[in-house]
This record gives sequence, C-alpha cells and structure tokens, in this order.
Amino acid sequence: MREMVMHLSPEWILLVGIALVLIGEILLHKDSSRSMLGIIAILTVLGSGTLLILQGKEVITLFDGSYTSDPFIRSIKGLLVAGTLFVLLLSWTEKIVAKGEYYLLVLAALLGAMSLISSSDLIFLFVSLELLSLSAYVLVGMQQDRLVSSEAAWKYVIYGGASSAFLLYGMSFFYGLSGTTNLTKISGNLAVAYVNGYELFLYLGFVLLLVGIGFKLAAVPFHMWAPDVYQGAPTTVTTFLAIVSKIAGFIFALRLISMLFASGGLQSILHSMVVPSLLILSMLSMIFGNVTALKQHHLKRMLAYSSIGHAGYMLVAVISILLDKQESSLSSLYYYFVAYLLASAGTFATIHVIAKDRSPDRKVLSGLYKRSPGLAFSLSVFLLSLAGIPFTAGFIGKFTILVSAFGNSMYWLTGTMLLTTVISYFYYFRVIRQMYWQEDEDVSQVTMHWSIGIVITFSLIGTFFFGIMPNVLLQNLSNWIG
Amino acid sequence: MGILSYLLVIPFIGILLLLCLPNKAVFYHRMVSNLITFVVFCVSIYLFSSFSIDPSLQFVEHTNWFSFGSSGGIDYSLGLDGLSLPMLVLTTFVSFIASVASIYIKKRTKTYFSLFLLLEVGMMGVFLATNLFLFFLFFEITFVTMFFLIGIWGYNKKERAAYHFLIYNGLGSAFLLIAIVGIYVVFGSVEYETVRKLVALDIPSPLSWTLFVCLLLAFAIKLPIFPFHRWMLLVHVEAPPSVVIIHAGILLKIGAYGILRFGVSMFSSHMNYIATILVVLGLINLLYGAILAFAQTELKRVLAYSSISHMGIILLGVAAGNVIGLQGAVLQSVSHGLISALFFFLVGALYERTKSTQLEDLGGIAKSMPVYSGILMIASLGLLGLPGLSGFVSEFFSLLGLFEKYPIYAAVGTLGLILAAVYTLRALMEVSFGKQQKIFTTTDIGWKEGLPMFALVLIILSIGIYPDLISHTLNGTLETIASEWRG
Repeated sequence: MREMVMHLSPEWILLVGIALVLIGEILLHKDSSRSMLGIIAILTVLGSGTLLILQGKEVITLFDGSYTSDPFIRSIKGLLVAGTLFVLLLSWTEKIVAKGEYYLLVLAALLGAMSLISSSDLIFLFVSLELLSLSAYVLVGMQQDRLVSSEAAWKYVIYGGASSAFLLYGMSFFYGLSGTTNLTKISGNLAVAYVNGYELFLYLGFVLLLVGIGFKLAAVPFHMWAPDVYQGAPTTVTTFLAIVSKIAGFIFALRLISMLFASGGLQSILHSMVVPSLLILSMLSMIFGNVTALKQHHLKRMLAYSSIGHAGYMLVAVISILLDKQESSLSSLYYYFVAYLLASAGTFATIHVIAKDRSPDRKVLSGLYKRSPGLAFSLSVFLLSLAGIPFTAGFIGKFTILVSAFGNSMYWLTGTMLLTTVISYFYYFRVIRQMYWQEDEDVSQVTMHWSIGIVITFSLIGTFFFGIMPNVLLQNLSNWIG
Repeated sequence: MGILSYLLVIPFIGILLLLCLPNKAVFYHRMVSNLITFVVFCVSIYLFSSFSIDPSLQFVEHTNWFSFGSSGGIDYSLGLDGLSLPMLVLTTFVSFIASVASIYIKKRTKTYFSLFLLLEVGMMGVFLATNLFLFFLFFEITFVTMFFLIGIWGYNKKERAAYHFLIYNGLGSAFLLIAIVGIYVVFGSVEYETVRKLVALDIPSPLSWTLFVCLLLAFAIKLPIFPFHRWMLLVHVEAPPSVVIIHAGILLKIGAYGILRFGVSMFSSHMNYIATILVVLGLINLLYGAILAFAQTELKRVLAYSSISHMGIILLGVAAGNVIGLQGAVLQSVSHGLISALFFFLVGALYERTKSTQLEDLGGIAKSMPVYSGILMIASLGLLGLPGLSGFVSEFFSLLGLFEKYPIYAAVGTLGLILAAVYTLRALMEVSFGKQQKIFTTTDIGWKEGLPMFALVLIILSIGIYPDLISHTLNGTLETIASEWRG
C-alpha cells in the first residue's frame, strides 16, 4: 500500500489539488476573486513535477501490470507538467466566467493525460483518455459569451465522441482475439490468434484504432475538428490542446501500437499494415496541414493547420521508433516535443497578449516592431523555431527526426518533410512580415501581465538554449532513457 | 576560442552597440557598421598575410558540439585553406564596401545595420566552416537576413522579390539539408575531410548519386544555373543597391564555392561523370545571360543578366577540372564579386541622383558627372574583360583550362566574351554619352562615395596586373583537388 502511494505520488497530488480547488470553489463567495484557486493549481502542478523528478530512474509496475512508469514516460510527464504550468500562467488573465471550474478541469485533464501515457491496460487506457477528453470538451466551451466557443465545444464533443466509439470498438476486437486487456500480455495472445487465421479481425481492429488515434493527434484525414476548435476555444485552452493533449496523444499512440504489435509473430502486420498506414497519415498531415495553412488569415486557425503539419513531422519520428526501436529515435521525438512545446507556448502567449479580446487576425500584428519590439522579436523567434530555422530548438528537433528517418531508409518521407517545411516558410514568414514590414494601423499600447511575461521569457530562452546547446538535452536523454 | 571564432564574434559586438543606440542616431548607426566591418576586414587581411602557402587547413578550431544516434558527433570546427581564404577576404572587403554604400538607406537604419552585420557573420561562417552542418547553419543565417533586407528596404516589387528569394532558396536549403542528413547517416560524419576520404573509397551508388545531385541542385539554385535564375533577377532589380552588392558580390559565390567544395573536392568521382553536362550548362548560362543582357532596357537588369553570364564562366572553369581552370573559376568569383560591387555602388549613386535606372531616361552623364562616368567606364571595362583588369585574367584562365579538355566548347565560350563587350559597351554608351533625355540636377560624386570606389578600382587593377596576389594562396589546394579528380 505504502509503495502504491509512493509510486503514484505525482498523480495523487493532482487528485489532492483537484479536491482542494473543488472545496475552495464551494467555499468562496460567488463574486470574489478566484486567484487563490489559481495559486493552488499552480502549486499542485509544481509539486507533481517535483515528485516526478524525485522518482528517479526506477521502473515501476503497479496493479498487476496495468500501470507502468519508466524514465522515458516520466520525462514525457515532465513535459506535460511544464506545458500545463504554462497554460495555468497564461490563464491568470483569461476572461472566463467559471474560473474555479476552469482550474479544476485543467488539473483533471492533466491527470487524465498523465495516467493515459502510463497505462498498460486497455480499460485503464480508455478511462484515462476519457478523463482527458471530457475535461477538454468542457474547457473548449468555457467562454459561454462567445458563440464560436460553444460551437467549437459542440464540434469537439461530437467528433470526439464518435472517435472514442471507434477506439472502443477497435479495442473490443483485440480483447476478443486475445482474451485479455493487459497490454503486456496481449501481444503474445494476438500472435496466436494471428496464426490461427483471425488475421482479418486484427486488421479490422487496427483500422478502428487508427481512427481514434488519428483524431487524438489531429492527423489528416481525422483532423476536421482541429481548426474550428483551435479557433473557437479560449487561447489558453488552445495552448493546452496544442501542447499537453497532443504530446499525450502521441505517446498514447506510440505505446498502444508498439505494445499491441510487440510480439515477433506480429512483425509482418507491423510492416505490412501499421507502418504504411501511419506513413500515409504522416504524409497527408504534412502536405495538407502546411498547404492549407497558407490560406489562413486567422492566426489561431493558421496555427491549427500548422500544428497538423507538425503532427505529421512527429509521426515520422513515431514511425522511426516503431521500425528501429532505437533510443536515438526516442530522443529525436522527445527533442521535437520540447522544441514544439516551447515555440507553441510562446506563440500562443504572444498572440494572447497582442490580440486581447479581439479576434486574432493577422492584421492585429501590423507594425508590432514599433509598438513592442520585444514581443515582435520573441514571436519571430518562436515562428522561426516552428519553421525549423537553425539556432532555434526547432531546427535541431527537425534535424534529429530527419536523421532517424533517413537511417530507416524512409527517403520519401524525408523528402516530403523537407519540401513541406519549405512551404511552411511561406506562412510563418508572412506573419513576421506583418510585424516588421507593415506600418501599424492601430497604435494601441501592448500591456502584458507578469505571468504571461514569464511564459514568453522562458520559451524564448529555452528556444535559443536548446537550439545552440543541444547536447545538454540529448546527452541527458540518452543517459536517462538508456 | 581561436582567431576565427573572434572574427565571427566581432559583428555581434557591433549589433550590441547598435541596440544601445537610439533609433534616430542614423549617423552613429552607419559609423558603427563601417567601423566593425573595417575591423573585420583588417583581421581577415592579417589572416591573409600570415597564411602559409601549403594545401593544409590552417587556423583550425575544433570542439565537440553534440552527438546524436549511432553516428559520430557533430563538431564545431572552423578552418581556412587556400580555397576559402580568398573568399573570406572577398567577403570582408565587399561587406565593408557595402556598409559604406549603405548611405542610401534612410529608414530604420538601426534594424538595417543589425541585420547587415548578422548577414556578415553568416557569410564569413559559410567560408570558415569545415563541416557540412556548420556550413548549413551559417548558410541559413544569410537566407533569413537577406529575406528581410530585400523585403523591408527594397524597391516597388520588393515583396515579390523577397518571396521569390524565399521559395527558391528555401528549396535550395531543403536539398542541401537532405544531402547533409544523408551524408551524416551514410558516412557517420559531416567533417569535410572525413567525408571526402570516405566518398573516395566508395563506388558511386544510387544513394551517393542522389546525395550528390541534391548538393548540386542546392548550389545550382544559389549560383544560379540557367533554369533556376528567376529569383536572382528579381533580387538584382528590387533589392537596395547596398544589398545587391552583397548579393551579387558574395552570396552568388557561395554557389560557386559550394560546387567547388562539395562537388569537385568531395564527390570528385561523381563530378567526373557530369563534367560535360556542366560545360554545357555553363555555356548556356554564358550565352543566355549575354544575349538577354543585350536586350534589356534597364541598367540593373543588364547587370543581372551579365551576372548570369559570368556565373557561366565559373562553371566552365570548374568543369575544366585542371588547376588553371579551377584557378580561373575562383579568380572569376573574386573578380566578379569586386566588379559587381563597384557596379552596384555606382547604380546606387546614380539612382540617388536621378531616381531612375531606365536606360532611356539616362544619358549624357559624362558631361555633368565626369568622375562618376570615369569610374563607370573602368567598371564596364572590367566587366567585359579588358586585359589589365581582373575580369580578363579570370576569364582567360577559365577558358584556357577548358581548352585543354574541350577545345570546341571553349571556342564557343569565347563568343560569350565578345557578347559581353557588346552589351556592356551599349549600356555604357547610353548612360554616359547618349543624348540627355531628362534634365537632372546632378552633382558629381564626393569623397564619401569616391573613396571606396577608388579602393575597389585599385584592387581590380592590381589583380588584373598581378593575379598571383590571390592565386598564390590557391595553388596548393587546387592542385590537390585537381590531382584527385583527374588523378
């Protein structure tokens, strides 16, 4: 029992935090400020991060093998915690009616994301996923006074609900074939089923899974929800979806697929079906995401499409991992996550500050270099990092993914990745152009709350640091994972 | 940190100084930039004079940077050899001239000069790097800064020019990155020397051919070779003159340097197969550029097409593959860098006074601006390759080298020189001596513009008379390259 408390402490503390926020929300007067609850939420997340670090390199298995936590998973959880921390800091000034519930849901979503990537059991997996998804549905619709916010929430619920159904149906196939929901045991049983001629059901199950996974990752052709939701949701929630939910989704997909098809008998399926279908998703996401982003004027919508493109790049890394199972491929994915987290958090934070209550059309950035040179510079750096220009973290991330992909002889994927990167230059540079070339139409002063300042400063320093000193992270990662 | 790293750091000091200055202190912005580029130039001259004449890499700096995957690590490694030294000196000198020529830039000087100094870091880094990864990083610095320099300070169609620049060079970088990733994965290293030795051991395979073609494409866009030249025309015409000085003077030469360094030196066995194709491409560039230059009605477009034509000569020299041809190619890079710097300085000065570079608007400048048209005359003669000026030496060497291997092609190539005389003299006549169409209130150039122009003229003249000034550092390196290629 004591062991269970110790090993699950990063999750427990979140649960405690959720309870505290809930009680606080009930006790506080209707009109009083909710910043106290915000502080509780931030402290909870910080505490969770500290406990993660304290756990060290131990490999933990709990509940009869349905919960695992190893150094890699723990380092991913660290990213989730950092991302949520950024979101909470940004939320400080966000205008939301039910602020108490908002903090509660963010914590709940983080809890869902953390247990999602730790779970090795289909049921546990699905419950965690639903905890994450349900919290996210509500979060998206939290600005009831904005019609687009409610609309986005509806779309998200409907698409999300349908994809959960697909996922669940797919899982039921695997359960039926193997007689177990435990992912550590499932693969061996599936191999037996495969030999016994249930091949078709394996394929069918995988296709159904793929729909659910594709939705979670916002990979083409299951991306339809992303632009509307990114645009409609409060910017802080968009940040959460773009960072925490996305990273968790990738690790969920990676673990689920690699554990289902881990057994030697299923290698032929992995190579004939799983990898090619992921490959198609990846290519489509890169091409469609980047090409469609070219036409967007609304910044959040543009970033939604760009994040679809980034999902394509990350899928390249996932495929490399599935193929070679090398520690270097894992660290390339991780590096990309770090770069993407910093750049996205920074970008959304900057847009959040500049756009204020207006709809963030590209025009709001006109002449920003005069009004606020610091912000203009920061946003440029974030966008350059997203575009993968050297001396930013994004470049090293992209380079490592390319090296892994090339090492696995995926030449077409490498080529597509680079060509779509060139396309992406267009829209990233266009935003920078808007800030530096266009003279300003409005001369409103940009004021910034310190909490957002922290996020932007951290992201800026991080983006440069990991772009210039990649060894710090790469070396530690290989010590840590290996 | 060695002297080469310091060289790269100096411009950053300038950027810091600029950031401390107020926005309005335009004069001080210029002074900082002039001073810094001059210091950098002096350091490079010091390097030039203390360079010992042998083919080895000198002033080497080497530090482990990071490692990834099973391949060897990626290092921070700088160095100079006979090939990169002349390019470095060209860079620092032309940068200094371009900085002085930036007096025509009047808005947002602080941002302009910061980007300008950053661009200089990028250009120097490209020539100093001794591994592909580092080369690429610096290459990208020039890419990003140029985009802004064209886009913010250019003429009417600056956006079009900037986006053309972005897309063509973006594609070029993508090809380059594919090649670098591939080389890193296949050979486990990105150091020039290591890769060169490993490639030499390999029998050309489809994979190494792909890598080679990617490299070649990247630099074909940069140089540019015939079908990829559109962006470069727009940049020539729409970018401000001081930026075109950099662009025509140095950035195009990165293409030549790349082909020499990665094509000829690194993938020599592959290069052997396509030498003839290269000759044909070179001739196309040479003649296409020259013929179209003749048909232009705008001075900047004449010069843009003449740049294409002159890049063709570089290709011819490279394709010849013997020491003389390679020497001609490098000399042509340097000489064309200097001459086009001078020319665009002159164009800038002219536009400042007349607000037009249409040939039909100009004319009779010789009367009102005698000093100016005198320098214009020298620049034109340099461009058409008059003996005694640097242009002649380089073209002569390139064609002489080519004649050894491909006498017929070389004979066709000499046609280009005749055409060069035709289009240059035509433009010169119209500008300097033609009938005056409009009345301009023109004053002749003063010492501010005249002094740097005279410096350029002096160097063009001294290379023309005494080419060994540059080529003595080259020989060792080029002999090694040539012997390995044809050996």
